[in-house]
Amino acid sequence: MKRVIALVALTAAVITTTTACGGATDSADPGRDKGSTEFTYWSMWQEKEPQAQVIKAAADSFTRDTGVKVTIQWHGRDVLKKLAPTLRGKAAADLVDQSINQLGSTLASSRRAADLGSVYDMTVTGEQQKVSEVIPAKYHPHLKDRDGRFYLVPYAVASEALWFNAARFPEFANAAPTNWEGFVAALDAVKAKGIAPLALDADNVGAAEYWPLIALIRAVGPDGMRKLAADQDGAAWDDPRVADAAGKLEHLVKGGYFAAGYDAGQYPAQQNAWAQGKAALILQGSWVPSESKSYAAPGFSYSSFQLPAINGGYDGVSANFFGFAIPRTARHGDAAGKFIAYFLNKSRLEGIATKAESITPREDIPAPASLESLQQALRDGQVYPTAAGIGLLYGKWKSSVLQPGAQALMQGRLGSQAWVAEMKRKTVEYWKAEG
Amino acid sequence: MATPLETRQRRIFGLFVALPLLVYLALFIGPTVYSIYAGFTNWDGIDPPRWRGTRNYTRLVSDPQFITSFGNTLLILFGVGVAVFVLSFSFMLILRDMRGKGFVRGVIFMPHIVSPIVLAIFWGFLLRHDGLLNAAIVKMGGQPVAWIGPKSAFLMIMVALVWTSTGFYVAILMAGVDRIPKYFYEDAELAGASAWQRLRHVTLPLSWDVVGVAAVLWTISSIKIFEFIYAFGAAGGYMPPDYEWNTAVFVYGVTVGGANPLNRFGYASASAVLMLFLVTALVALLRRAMRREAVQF
Amino acid sequence: MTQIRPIRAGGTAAVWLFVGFCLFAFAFMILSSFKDSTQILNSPWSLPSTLDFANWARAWDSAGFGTAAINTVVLVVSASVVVVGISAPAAYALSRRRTRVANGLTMLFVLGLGIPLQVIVLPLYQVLAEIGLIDSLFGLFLVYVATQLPFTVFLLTGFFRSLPSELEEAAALDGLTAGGTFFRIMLPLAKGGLVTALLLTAISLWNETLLGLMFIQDTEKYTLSLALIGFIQQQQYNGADYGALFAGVSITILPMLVLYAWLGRRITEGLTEGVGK
Repeated sequence: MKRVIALVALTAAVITTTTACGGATDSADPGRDKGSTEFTYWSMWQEKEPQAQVIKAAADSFTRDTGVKVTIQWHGRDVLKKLAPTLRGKAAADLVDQSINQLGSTLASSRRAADLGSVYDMTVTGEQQKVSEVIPAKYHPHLKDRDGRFYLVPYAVASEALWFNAARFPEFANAAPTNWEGFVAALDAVKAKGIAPLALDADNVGAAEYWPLIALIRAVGPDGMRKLAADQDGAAWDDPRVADAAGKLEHLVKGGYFAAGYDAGQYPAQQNAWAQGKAALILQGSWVPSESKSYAAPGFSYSSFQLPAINGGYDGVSANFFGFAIPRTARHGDAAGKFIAYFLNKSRLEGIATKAESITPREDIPAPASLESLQQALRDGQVYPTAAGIGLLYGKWKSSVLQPGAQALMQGRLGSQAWVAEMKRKTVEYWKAEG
Repeated sequence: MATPLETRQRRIFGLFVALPLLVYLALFIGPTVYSIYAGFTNWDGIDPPRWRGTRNYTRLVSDPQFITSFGNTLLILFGVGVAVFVLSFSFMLILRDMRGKGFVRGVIFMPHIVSPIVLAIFWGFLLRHDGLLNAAIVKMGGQPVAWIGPKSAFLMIMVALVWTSTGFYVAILMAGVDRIPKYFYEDAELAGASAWQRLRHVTLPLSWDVVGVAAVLWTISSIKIFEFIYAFGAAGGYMPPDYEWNTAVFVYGVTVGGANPLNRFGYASASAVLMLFLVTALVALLRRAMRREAVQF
Repeated sequence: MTQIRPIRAGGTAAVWLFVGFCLFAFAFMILSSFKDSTQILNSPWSLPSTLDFANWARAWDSAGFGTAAINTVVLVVSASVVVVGISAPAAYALSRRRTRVANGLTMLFVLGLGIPLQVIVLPLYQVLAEIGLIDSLFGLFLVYVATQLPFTVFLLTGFFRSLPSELEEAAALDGLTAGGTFFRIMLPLAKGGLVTALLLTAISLWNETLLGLMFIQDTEKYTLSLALIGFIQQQQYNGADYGALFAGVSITILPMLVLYAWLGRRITEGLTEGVGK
């Protein structure tokens, strides 16, 4: 037995020492040309998805034009979970993509993303403009980490909106409600016609979260939202505007505005039912057209409007980004950086709009028809980072406090007063435990 | 004095055991030991862990999410456990002398041979609001039922676990009972024993050790149930709703799960270590409780 | 006797209901693989109108179930054979020696049954990373062998204990070495138990997801359950293709069902010996 114990101890010791050493300190500067002739790209897409096809085509022509070999691994949505353990030494990927929330919480918040300032200074391959010029300046502040350094170059801009079939509900396309009272009146009108006003897959924590999150931003603004997230003594949650916004949501939940079974389905059941015309509106991300199009009723014409401000509060448009980042410890960050500047060329980036049906950050690339309304809103409106940036700043609070709370409110498990009290208590407790 | 056989067996012992033991120590026990250490640290899975003493444990016992998860694990362990055993034992009794028992035993074992993910996909299609069951209810003129609404979702998970586990335990119990020689029953019948008496005085005592093994296996495997709950409840890259978590889902949820992974590997290790203690204690208790005079036959 | 009969009839009915439900579940999944997504959603009870393999082709090809099937077969067969191959001698040795060391080691192996895989995944990752076996099917093979050891050793130890030791004593008197006794006498006797262990290992590895998810990165090295997960994930951002999903499910479960129909009896019968003692 003694020998066994010794062996176990030895193995443990080996593991401990191997874990303890090797924190990489050198950092990749994509701007410093190391003359790399290859790089490895880990993708959030699976090979046959349209986004993958567009990027693959660009990578192939990049290799033809520059001789730089591109190794692509199609990892799917969990790409960063797989990348994270390799970040201790040399990162396994030189280029990686995901949403800003994921890149932010895995790479940027722990300072494991390379500074892409030099990539923003590069000239887009085959064009006169710099990367920083084709990506609108209004997005720049939202693409930087806490230290003010760029860590993400977006190739797609997403947002959240209330989506509807413009062919069936032209009233929303002609005159979307501009305040909460008008919004509820419009919902009542839909209800009077015997159609469920709202669809929601409440089992999807992300979808359920949109309602309280965006309603609170509509009431107290992005700054106010960040204060709620960071509230150590609970004072921010005592703001009467918070209780008011929660009360408005409770009214929707208890008032039967959501389609039958919204709290007992499985995502994307409600979304598909909505596409088939069983509900009028759905509050979702701008991927909803491509997710639901194969189920859409004949003649379905996708359009959207923004959830209106509450009591003259904030009515900006959220910007959510999908794009490239380079791990700080990447071996061939220079080649990856060049590829980013290459991909942002209008003729290549266009595929993201035409084939993958997304909005690109370039304003000179028209959005696909289903997303026109949203591209216009992004162009004309004030822009705030998705979820007011709390995914990046207070991601753990968002996952462990806001998301379960949001779901409880939207499933009607908590009334609005009880909900505000609960959120306040849990937020205070959270910061006490973190502190 | 060692017999010649024992001497020979001692000689090969090291040789026969060394390779599996080495693999097992290096790739299983070693990582486990490391996790026990990690339970006392703050570890994001990338940088080296930082020592933080017992604070992970004190935080766990006041974390409402862990308490919910722990409660659900106990519900599965005892609630589903009792249901599976009552059902398996009844099935075993019925099957013993039923026509087509081989076929029945074969079919109800089937859920055990496919991935829990596949079963979860089916279970979702069966119970969701627009699913199979409600479609049938509506066709018959009824109102759809919120089977997997927040109040009943976890209950439905428990029902599914009863469904998927029963076949395995029926097979084990039947295997045990099949070994009871026929003449015990013939003798009992000749002595005028009723069906109940035969169960009480023949079947139960003679299959007691198999019941014990089954109970141990259930205790161990029920605490590890993860894939079914995750595949059933998770949507759009997010974690399942908080009321569906058990402790295995908790470990995943506070580490790499969800859209904003928490990466609390030290914390997760602490919770896993707590569960390891629970299993060890329960198995020790079970073995003591089941250790009766072994009936040899 | 008289009051037992209605209970029995009710019980028999319940058993058949249960059997019917199991068959229905599998029939539903396989039949749905021939329907298109809208049909599956809007009329879940309807039978497919044609035996159209378009969903299957899509799953096999674009979701990579084809490559995954080959990887899975190779990995599962080799890992199961090796696990049973190295567990059998160990289990025999452990079952025959009643010393403190042997008992302690048996307990050590059994302890592994109770350790949730989530506990070991991260440290394990670092061990494999050190020796360069991340994103390698050989690395996954090693991990599979290690994680299956506790159950196989547990099952086979019980099995060998159930075999009488008279034969070995006779063999020892005849001058056969202990190794010879094991290979020539005990192993053939234990055939039933070994097949059971092999099948149970193969089944659980065929369906294994968590470890594959952590240790395999390249799509070319995906196993079937990884392909299934990857396919489910695509519904985020690009929509759900339920028809192809059920085709993928069918590709994943049919080989197991065939294997089971062929050798299923061995599993249920062999369980007796392993856990019975």
